[in-house]
Amino acid sequence: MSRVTKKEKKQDFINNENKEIKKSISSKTNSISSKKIKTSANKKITTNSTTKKNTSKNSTKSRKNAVKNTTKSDNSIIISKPSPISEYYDLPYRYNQTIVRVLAQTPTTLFVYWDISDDDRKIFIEKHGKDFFNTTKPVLLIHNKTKDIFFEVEINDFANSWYLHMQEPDCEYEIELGRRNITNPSRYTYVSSSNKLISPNDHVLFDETDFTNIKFKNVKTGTIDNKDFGSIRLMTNIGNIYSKKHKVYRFYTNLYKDEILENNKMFSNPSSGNPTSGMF
Amino acid sequence: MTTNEKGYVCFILHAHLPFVHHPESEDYLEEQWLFEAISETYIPLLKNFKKLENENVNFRITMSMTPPLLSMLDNKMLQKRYIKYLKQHIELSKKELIRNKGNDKVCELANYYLNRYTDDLHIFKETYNCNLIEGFKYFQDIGLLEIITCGATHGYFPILYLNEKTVRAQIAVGVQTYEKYFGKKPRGIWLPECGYIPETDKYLKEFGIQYIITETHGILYANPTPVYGTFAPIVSPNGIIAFGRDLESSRQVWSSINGYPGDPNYREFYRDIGYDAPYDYIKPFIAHNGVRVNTQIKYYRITGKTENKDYYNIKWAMDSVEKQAGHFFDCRQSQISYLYSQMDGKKPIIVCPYDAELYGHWWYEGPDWLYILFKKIYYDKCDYKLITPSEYIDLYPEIQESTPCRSSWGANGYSEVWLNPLNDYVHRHYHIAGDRMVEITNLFPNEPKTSLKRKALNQCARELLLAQSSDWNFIITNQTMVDYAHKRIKEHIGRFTKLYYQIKNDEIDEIFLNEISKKDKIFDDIDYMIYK
Repeated sequence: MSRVTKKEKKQDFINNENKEIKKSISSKTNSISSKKIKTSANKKITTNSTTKKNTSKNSTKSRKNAVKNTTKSDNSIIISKPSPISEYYDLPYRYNQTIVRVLAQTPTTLFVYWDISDDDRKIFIEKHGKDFFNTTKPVLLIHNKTKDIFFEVEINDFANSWYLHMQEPDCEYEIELGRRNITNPSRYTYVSSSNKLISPNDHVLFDETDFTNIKFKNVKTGTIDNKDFGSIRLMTNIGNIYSKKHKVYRFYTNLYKDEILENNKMFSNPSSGNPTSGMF
Repeated sequence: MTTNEKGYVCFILHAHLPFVHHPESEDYLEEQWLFEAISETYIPLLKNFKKLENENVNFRITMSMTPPLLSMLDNKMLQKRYIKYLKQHIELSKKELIRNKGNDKVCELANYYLNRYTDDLHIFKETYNCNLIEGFKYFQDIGLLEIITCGATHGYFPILYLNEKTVRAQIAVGVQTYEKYFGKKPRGIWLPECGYIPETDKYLKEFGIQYIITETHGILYANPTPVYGTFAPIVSPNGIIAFGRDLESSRQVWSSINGYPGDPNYREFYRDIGYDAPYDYIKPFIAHNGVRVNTQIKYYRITGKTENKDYYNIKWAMDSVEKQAGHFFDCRQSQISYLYSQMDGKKPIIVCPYDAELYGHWWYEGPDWLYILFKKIYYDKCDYKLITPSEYIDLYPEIQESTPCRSSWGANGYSEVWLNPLNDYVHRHYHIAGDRMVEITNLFPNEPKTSLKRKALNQCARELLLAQSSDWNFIITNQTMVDYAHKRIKEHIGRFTKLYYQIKNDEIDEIFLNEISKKDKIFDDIDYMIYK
């Protein structure tokens, strides 16, 4: 293949993605607008559990960041060997695929992202009329399968992801994307379902554990032995520390009450020695 | 010397750097992460291991060495560039002796750096023939060091697992890379960022992994509650053994408030001649575009909470090392004695995992602290011994069955570092690329060994793995080298996507494929069929 210019290569890549992307404007523009959209979606709607959550840290990095933020500018690149290709990439705004996926950010915060493909949109319009997407609003139907509870969160057509705040940790969830008729809310149309997700636990399961019957496994032989730990002293002490469902912060402050602990920093440990943490 | 054995201390150092390899340019500062880590962490660790061996100190330590790190240590181009880095530092140290003539304290330090970098060059070239992996392998082979593996590119499992095959591939390539360099299978794995989810147990099992390390609450919040807390491992119903981080010992080393590395006598990281020396003088030794950066030649000690730093004094620093090693030694003695008395005769294990690069790079004196501590544990009277997780399992195979808690060792203990409004846009690309990798693998299975399509499919697997490095999301969250992290995500997803279409349309651009294969030259023996 002959050498091609940077511009041609960029177009080549974008053309590929345009097979999937409805809009033919550059994906860079799209990604910027997506950020704006996400910001506009960052407001409280319908329930107290639907805000976009900002977890970024306002860390004080002064000199440290000054040391780190030293990536070179483009014009400073010294090309050791001329490259036979030129590359330019941007991430596509969407993949034109009907999808709903959910991840656990914390034990009680879920992150959902979604999209509806152009083909599926057409099918909905053919089935429900050309105004279908104007006369309905998007909703997320959250199914807490562990507690067998359903609840609904209204989202908007400008967002493609959402943070959902849950009450309970350690539950199995499935999220459904649907459309609810604006004038007649009892009319609901199913669009797609997410993966199943189990959120993490966030407390010691002291009250739920039967210490009189603790299972031990010999990993060499595979033999099982059940033991009674009802009276072991270490557990009694641990029991004093967490007689109820203590959250993680309480647990650590109980253990280290003599130290000054900065909230949110107690876990900001390990990766910090890693160069990617900014130590390099 | 252990007189009345009541328990164990298990040191685990996680050695990891993201894969940074730019044959197209020598101007990527990110490449220096490796060089700084070699000079400040990996060589000092090897030197101290050697000293301990020569002094017949029977120590134990565990290290995870990640596949990207191993691949970079084995990379000829990076080895050459490290030698160039060392030569520049030797030259700079010599110039410093002239520039600071008359200032005896600084000259003494400049001379120290000159000797240190000269020694590094000798060790790197002559002792290890430019490949430090052999050095670590040696200590594993003689039984003092246990090396474990990691996910192929440090992909964060709790996010990737929506497509379980991508997690399986991370584990498979992690194990394969380990076998390539160490000639046997790893018994343990360092889950990237200690990110644990029970769904990955079956794949760990499939590739022969016996144990993992989790953050403290990975054990404490396990189900059912572990009766010995983090002081004994647990085994999941699927047979994966989990060791949990001990909080007390970790905080002594790590705490930003009162941890050892903050001692006033230790070297001050943030005073560097890259920033302090006159601009025209230091220009040849900083970034090519003239931006001041660290040179790692530093003359000051932490001193205290002041901008007026005193000169670094190596002897004083070593006094603090002795003192703090003694403190840690005594604390473990009382911790283990207490726990032993509470555990009805069971011997506790205190698991102390840290980033390897904390030792030496961040905490300059860290490798010497380890040396002194290990010597103390061996020679001084105490009731505990150093141990590796494998040795512990072999000694005490009876383990409580419990499912570890979904957790990580990132800020706040779950997934916020890798999934938050700064970086959440990335995950759909990871997931779709993962799905596409599985799709093209199943569309074109078992391509002939020499076919262009197979080469392209293998490169697709490499691009996907490189995109998945948790490092990029970490950097974005930390707001440090953000541009570089965005660039890497875009490049790997971009290259993957382009190849994906070329493969599907049967229009593989061989020039393009060859070029990106040179740039993203990692996992030479990868077989895309791991995604089937």
